[in-house]
Amino acid sequence: MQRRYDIGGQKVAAQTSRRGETLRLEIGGREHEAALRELGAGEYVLRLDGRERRVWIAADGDSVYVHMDGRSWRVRAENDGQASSASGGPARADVAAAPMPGTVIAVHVAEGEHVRLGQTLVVIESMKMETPVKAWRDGVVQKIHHPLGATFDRNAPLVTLAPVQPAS
Amino acid sequence: MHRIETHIDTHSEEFKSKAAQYRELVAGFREKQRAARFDGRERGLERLRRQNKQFVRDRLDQLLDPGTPFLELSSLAANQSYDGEVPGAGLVCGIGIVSGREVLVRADDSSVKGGAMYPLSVKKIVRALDIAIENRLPVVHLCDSAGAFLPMQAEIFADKYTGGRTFRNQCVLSKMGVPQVSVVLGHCTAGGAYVPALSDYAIIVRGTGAIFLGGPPLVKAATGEVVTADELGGADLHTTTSGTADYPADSEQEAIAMAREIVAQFHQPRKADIGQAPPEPPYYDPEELYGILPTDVRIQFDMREVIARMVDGSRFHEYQPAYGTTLVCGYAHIWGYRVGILANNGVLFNDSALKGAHFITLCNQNRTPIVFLQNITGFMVGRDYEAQGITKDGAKMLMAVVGSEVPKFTVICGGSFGAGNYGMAGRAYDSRFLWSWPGSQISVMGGEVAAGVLTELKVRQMARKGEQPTEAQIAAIREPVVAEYRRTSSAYYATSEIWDDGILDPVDTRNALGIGISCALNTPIEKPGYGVFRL
Amino acid sequence: MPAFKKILIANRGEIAVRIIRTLRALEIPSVVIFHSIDADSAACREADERVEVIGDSPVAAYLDIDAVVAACRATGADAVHPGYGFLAENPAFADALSAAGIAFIGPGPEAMALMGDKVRARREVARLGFPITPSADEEDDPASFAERAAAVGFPLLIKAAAGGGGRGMRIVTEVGGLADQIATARREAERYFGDGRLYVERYIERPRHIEVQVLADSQGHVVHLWERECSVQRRFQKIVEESPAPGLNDTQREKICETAVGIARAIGYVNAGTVEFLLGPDGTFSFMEMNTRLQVEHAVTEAITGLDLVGEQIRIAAGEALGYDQSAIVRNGHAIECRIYAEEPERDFAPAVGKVLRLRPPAGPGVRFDGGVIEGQAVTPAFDPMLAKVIVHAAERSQALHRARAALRDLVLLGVSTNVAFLERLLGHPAFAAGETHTGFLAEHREVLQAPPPEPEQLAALAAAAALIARDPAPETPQPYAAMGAWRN
Repeated sequence: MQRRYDIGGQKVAAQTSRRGETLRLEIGGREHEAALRELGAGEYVLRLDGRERRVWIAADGDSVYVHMDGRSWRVRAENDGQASSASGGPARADVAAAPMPGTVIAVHVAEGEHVRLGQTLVVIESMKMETPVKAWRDGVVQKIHHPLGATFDRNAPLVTLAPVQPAS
Repeated sequence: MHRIETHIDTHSEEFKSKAAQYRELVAGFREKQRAARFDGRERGLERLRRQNKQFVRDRLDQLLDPGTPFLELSSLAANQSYDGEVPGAGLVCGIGIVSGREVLVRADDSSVKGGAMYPLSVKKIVRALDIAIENRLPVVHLCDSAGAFLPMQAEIFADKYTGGRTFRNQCVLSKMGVPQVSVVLGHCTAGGAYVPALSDYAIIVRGTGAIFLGGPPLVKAATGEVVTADELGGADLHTTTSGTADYPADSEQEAIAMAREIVAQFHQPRKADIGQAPPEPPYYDPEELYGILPTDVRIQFDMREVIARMVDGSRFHEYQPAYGTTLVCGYAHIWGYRVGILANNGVLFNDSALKGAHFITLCNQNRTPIVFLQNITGFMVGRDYEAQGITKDGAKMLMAVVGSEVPKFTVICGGSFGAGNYGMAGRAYDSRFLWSWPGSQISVMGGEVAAGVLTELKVRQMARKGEQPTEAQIAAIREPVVAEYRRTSSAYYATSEIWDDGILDPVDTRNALGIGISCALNTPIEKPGYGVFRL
Repeated sequence: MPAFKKILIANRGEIAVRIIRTLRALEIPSVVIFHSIDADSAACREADERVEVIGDSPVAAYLDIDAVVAACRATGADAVHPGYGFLAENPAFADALSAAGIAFIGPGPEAMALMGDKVRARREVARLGFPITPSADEEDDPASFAERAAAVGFPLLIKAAAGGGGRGMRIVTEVGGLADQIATARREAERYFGDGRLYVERYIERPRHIEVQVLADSQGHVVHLWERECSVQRRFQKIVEESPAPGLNDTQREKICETAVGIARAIGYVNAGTVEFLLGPDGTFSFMEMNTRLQVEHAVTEAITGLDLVGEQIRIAAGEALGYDQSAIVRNGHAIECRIYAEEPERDFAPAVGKVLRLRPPAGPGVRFDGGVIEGQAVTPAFDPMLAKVIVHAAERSQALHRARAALRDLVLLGVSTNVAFLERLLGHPAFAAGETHTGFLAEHREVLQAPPPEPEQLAALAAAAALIARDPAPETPQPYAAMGAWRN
């Protein structure tokens, strides 16, 4: 499986697989073999490609703290897969489209306004349910397609956020 | 089981000189393979870079679990076709480990002719998916193909085992409950659009991935509509509106990571239980095969020496060691899997054919996969042998091979001629995998014999016209016949035409068989059933 | 016969634990006060008794004078050790204890009040004839303060009259920015100390921070316990302290120590105190301030003198005479203290929070670890980010540096970002090793702030450790694939 880490600001992507107790890693095209033997109380012997080191390891949430080679490091796991698929989907589009036909019952932002991820833009009502349409990313409201009280069809554009210039 | 006693003196001059020759042969094969994988890609790779796409081999490296093997299939497909301009037939197929699961990977190589489908490309895909069906292997499709190579459409489209068969095979896999994941890394145009559509899971890369029945040029020609590839079949369209693909990804790397995560969700099916011993390397170094194998198929060698360098601990239980001695039969283990081995040590006589048929039924009775090691000039010919029923004994062997339900594996080590090819489970006999060694030859009869027969026919034709050819004329007739025969009977021609699943360095055969057997055990082993044996 | 029946420690963290150690040696029962946030702290575990104090914030709880007095009453403690920080230099606290008949282990309220007002203190010290840096006090004539400040000369340092701990200090290099900086410094002083009065003094460039530990008993005996150099600082807070000061020759040392004793004697100081000086590159020194309490870095002095400063404080507070004179105080070897902070030196020393998941103090000859945290304890932004101190003692400075670096490498403290690796780099820096220290050391040697990037092999090892410890193990490679490794055909 692919694991991504931030080690003191350095990004490391490691493909991992396992043979029993032995972990195989591929980092930047280089393959490594590693294993961990616990000595007790957070103390371990870490073997990497035949070299053994005494290390201390403690994990807390997404962070793994390692004392190795005379200093401590924080290794932060970065989510991939799920996080990226969440960032995918309609989230990348510039327009929020109506999930079903309905009526605009509240408009919380104005065109030109800066909005933050998760901020409610408009509230729509359809099938007797109120649904807030939230900002799917930070941005600037470019257009609110329907004024308060207007009705719209399924897939009609509701709010357009100004396009983001792709980072070069 | 006893360790095979070798009769090879690895310090002898003969061994050393044979080894040097065979190594040269293998080096030639390795060079062809390297060239097919990497050479002549400059323009294609430059285009890939511009498109923000990766080379197919880099994609594979990201997909496969680190430190795990990859058994590439038919790496030299199409090496003798299309003026050699479509190496590997424009795609990579193989078996490897993704998220701990054994999968078949089918990856388009768009650095070759934009990944266009030639007739042999289609044949390679059909074969790969047949392997997936026979061995119940989940499939990961890395899609990046320009679609059918239109000038050759007649050879690609309509026949039973051409284009439509690839999609038929995808449907069959799905029906069997074998999952497929497509990663759309480039265009999936026309028929290619069905590859993700028929997969259980489809991931598509924003910007570079697109799926459509008709690409923008075709749409413009057909309806006048001007539309970009992304608008027509890009990631956002298919993952938000059409539902043709399931997951959008922002990069190839992300898409491949998602594919790995999806494969990690697959159930690991139980394998057919044939009992397994702890694997053990051969006692004799497999590299010694180089000093044992001749580079000339006319030179005989003892298959026991080959078996000794392929099986666990070099141990072999030989069945009927004193009967039908031109066919060596017996049990051994490969990577811990018990196998029955049939290996040619000369021409097939009546007794060897009967022994072979008998041993095949034994292996079926005790659920033992069978490995055929071919070095066969054929069944014995001549009046006495016909009188003893050599044909009907050969027929028994064929009947046993076809009735066999245990998985079969075939390695063409040397010659593979005539009906010997059939009796020893040639391509038509549904071996789960069939591989060739670099020096092997395959044809309906031996080259010299064939050239002789063909020349004789020509000379007779001339004689009927009253011509009396001189020696020089006869030689002039004979030479091209021999040359053409040599070309079409070579392992490179066979593998180019996908008569096998690839050429193997003999030393690699043990691993290839290990993976092949492991795959084969995904499918339950049924009770054998045979037709009528002519007794 | 112990001096006191029971002593209450009005503090927390490493200093509370440090004081308890001495109390144990003296066989005096200990009481600590604690806020609920510290209920599982090392101090609470080590003390014989503990009394919870409540406040609007954790800091406020430790500043609650009435609660401390009540805790003494409830537990029968007849003396209070304030540690450093919190109430340690609060004359009102000393008064309140005195009114309740409880001994305060520290100087009298008068000395505390005098030295607590930096402006008054400087004026008094100057009046007594001791050297101070050129300065201007706002109080003398607020209307002309800016003008007088400019006359002191640039660069100059704006300080809060009620200040301390580096807060409210600003360096001004030219007259142009002076008015703005005075306004900003005043706002800060009001916010931190509730007292916006300021003074300025000439900023001595590349000065060394030299301080002298003094002890004075109530019979009028005053001795010094030699000096400490604490030049390397970040945000005006000390990071590394050592003794003897590498930048002093014996003559200077005698002179500066005698000056400190002179000041303490002149103001009638009792108990342990520290007189701080700035030593200019030209060898001249001037009085900066006097800290009327036990200092964080007292352990350096303990190492080279062999004295227990907390024990001496208690004896003095109980009215005992020192019982020895200056000649009995012999310097021995070299000591270095490193302060372990929860912070990120790479990010401008931003405070870090987390939880101490693993702690293994360094050990070995001449290595002392004064820690106030234990495994499982949260490191919150509620308090000062100092977690512990590593103090080493060796025959001479270079050996002490080696020993300190080894101890820092050995210290395992996982779960929160710390400055440990930075300290180790700092001590290994050629300029530090050469003793070329001054208060601008880090500004001059910024490279020492940046951790060298890990080697690719280390990155692989760290990623491997993280992957191996992860709860979701990598998928197992089935056989026979696993045995084949990365085979390709």
